[in-house]
Amino acid sequence: MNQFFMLLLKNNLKLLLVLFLISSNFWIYKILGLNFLLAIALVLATLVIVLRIKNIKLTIFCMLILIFFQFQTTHVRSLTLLDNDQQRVQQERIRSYPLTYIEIFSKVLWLKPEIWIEQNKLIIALSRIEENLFGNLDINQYFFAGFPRNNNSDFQKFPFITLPFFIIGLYKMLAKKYFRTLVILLLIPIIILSLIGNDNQFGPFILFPFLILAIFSAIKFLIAKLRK
Amino acid sequence: MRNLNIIMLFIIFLVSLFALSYRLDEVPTGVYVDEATNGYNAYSILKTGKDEYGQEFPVAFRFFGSYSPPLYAYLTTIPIYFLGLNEYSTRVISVIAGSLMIFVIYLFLKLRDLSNKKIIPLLLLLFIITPWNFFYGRTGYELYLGFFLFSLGALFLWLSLKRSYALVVGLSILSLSTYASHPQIYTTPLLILGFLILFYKQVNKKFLFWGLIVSLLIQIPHLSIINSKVFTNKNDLFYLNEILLASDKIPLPQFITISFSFIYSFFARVITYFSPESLFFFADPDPQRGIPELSVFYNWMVIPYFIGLFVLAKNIKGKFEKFIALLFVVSIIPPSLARDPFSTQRALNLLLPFFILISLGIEKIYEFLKLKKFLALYVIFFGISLILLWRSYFVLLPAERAITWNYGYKLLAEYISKNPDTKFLIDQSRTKPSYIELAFFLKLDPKILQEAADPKIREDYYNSTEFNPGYKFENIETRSIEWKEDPLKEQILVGDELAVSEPQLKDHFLTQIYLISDPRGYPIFKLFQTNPKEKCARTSNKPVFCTGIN
Repeated sequence: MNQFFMLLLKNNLKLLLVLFLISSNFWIYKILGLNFLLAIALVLATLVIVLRIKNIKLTIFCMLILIFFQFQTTHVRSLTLLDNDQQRVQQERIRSYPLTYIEIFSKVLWLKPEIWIEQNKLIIALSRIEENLFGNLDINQYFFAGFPRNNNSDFQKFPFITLPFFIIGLYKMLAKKYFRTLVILLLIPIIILSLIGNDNQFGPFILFPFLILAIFSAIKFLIAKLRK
Repeated sequence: MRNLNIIMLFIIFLVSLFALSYRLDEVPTGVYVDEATNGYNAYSILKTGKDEYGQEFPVAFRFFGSYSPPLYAYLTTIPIYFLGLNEYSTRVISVIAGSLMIFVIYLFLKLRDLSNKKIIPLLLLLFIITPWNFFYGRTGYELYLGFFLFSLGALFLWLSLKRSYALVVGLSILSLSTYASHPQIYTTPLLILGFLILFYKQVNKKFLFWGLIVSLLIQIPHLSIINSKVFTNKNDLFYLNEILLASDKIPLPQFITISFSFIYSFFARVITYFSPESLFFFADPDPQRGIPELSVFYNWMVIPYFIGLFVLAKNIKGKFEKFIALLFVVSIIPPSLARDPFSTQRALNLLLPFFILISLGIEKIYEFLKLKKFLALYVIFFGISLILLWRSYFVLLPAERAITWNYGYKLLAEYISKNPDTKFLIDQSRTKPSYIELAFFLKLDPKILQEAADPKIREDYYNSTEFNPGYKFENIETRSIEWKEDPLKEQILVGDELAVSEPQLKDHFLTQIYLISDPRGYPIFKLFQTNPKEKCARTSNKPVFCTGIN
């Protein structure tokens, strides 16, 4: 009986800590102000993921819901379509290339790097994916509202004092080789965001559970260390 | 085996020398004002023993009202002596420093007892073509030299943990580095202090004493100007206003809000320097300090970067890892105190620890893949990196950054030298100081420029921070156009695209006689011939300047 109460207390403390982390960041209030349903879904999914992290099926299910919402709320930009200004830059760049050729036994073989590089749809798509990817890997976006670069779309997400906890949590997850968790909560969302882009008024919220989990893990680790 | 290593290292050194000096006089297109100032002042020292203001062998060069460490300009006198004043001789000291960096990186990796020494040559080749290294290894001003001396000094400090005498050499080189570039003035004392805090027990006290004595002796020239504005002229780069503005918004006592705002601003910048977005995608917002479509490292390096970070964090109690962490800390403090979000110039010292970190990551990948697979992967990524560098540095940079690099002054100087009897007025409203560019390309006799400079500057050389880009020498004048009088003088007005509007062209009877464009065809300079006779004849209310013009 005593053990049962201890477990209940322990779980309640965990629940309280996760609820505190969810409610003490600016991001959730921004979403709450814009889309109540999404905010509720995000809170529930995060709670389930963080508290039941060992239940992979449940985690995947929650993430699928969030991915669906992320996809629905993002203005997906084509990876290969260029607007007028980009086409102008492309044409200018094509003209910048020198004439490139190889001479083999008095035969001239013309190379066209300007076509292979500048007009290559795969390269254009890769550079868009790269732009999206690094946009999401920018730590300042999450903890400093994009400061000091200050993009228009950036907004305050987490208080910056939580950054050390996030770093410790991430390190601990890597050190303990929680690769499955990292793949489901971090790698797959980042790949998805790289493909669909960052044009979303709510931000890349499919990373929200991971951020909370990392901060939560760090606090748990530090509490355990303090108890020792 | 040892001989083989030396030969291999020498070959890589030659490769670096070739890569960094390839088309050095053509790319970057043009000569940036900082390059022109260094080059011309070196030329002036060589010819007269005085700088452009007539100051004899300055301890710090006065460049446009701020002060730069002198070592680069003094060293540049050597190539100028042999090759004359040109783009090549102005940039070649950076090329040599960049190539010598190969030995520094080699020793850092070798002394770390890398488990896989086979990959060191591959890492060195990668270092040569790393955009941050390649870009600054080819610029004709002091930054790379300062970085090289800082890295060399740091290497000797690290070596001193095994061979005590290296401490004297390390401290001396670090002291010398403060004469090479501005960031070292802050970074060097921090490194020495940090090193002593971390490794004091292992340091030989006798050599430490002598090292500090030699360092202090090297600082004598600096100490002689310690009370001047030389060391304070870049204080305005600090974001004090930003802190004060932010602190006003928080309803708490001021000492708390100011501290809080400072911590926020400082750490936001620290994180920006570690952000993958900055290192592998965006880089410097200043177009002069970067390569189009390339960041400071190649995008694929993000993977070894993360692995390296993890390895460093995991082994942080190790001596080498502690030393690398120290290099990070001391190199990141000065740029994080300046307001730019990511300055590749001020943070150049970070290239050393970041490259070592990426090397740690690559080493782990090698261990995971084994030699054959690793080599295949290396060849692919090295090839992609080479293509990216060629595209961005040799194709896009000369075209897209031509104006930023002051392309056009060489052509303007050629035009002026072909018309020695014509007066030229160069509009200075929006351009960087033109006088030094023209002095550089015209190889102007330094005595003429010294006479044209404000004599008051010489009187209090190290405290004259006011700068006036207006100059008058030979048939050239540089200042803003005075529309009331300048069209009434027989001369050629030179300005950028916005200098003369269509109505001004008609009202003042100007004729465009020459156009200098960038490689893409965008106008840089327009040259207008004035027509005082027509202007006076057609003006009803004749200004005083019309007197004597028929």
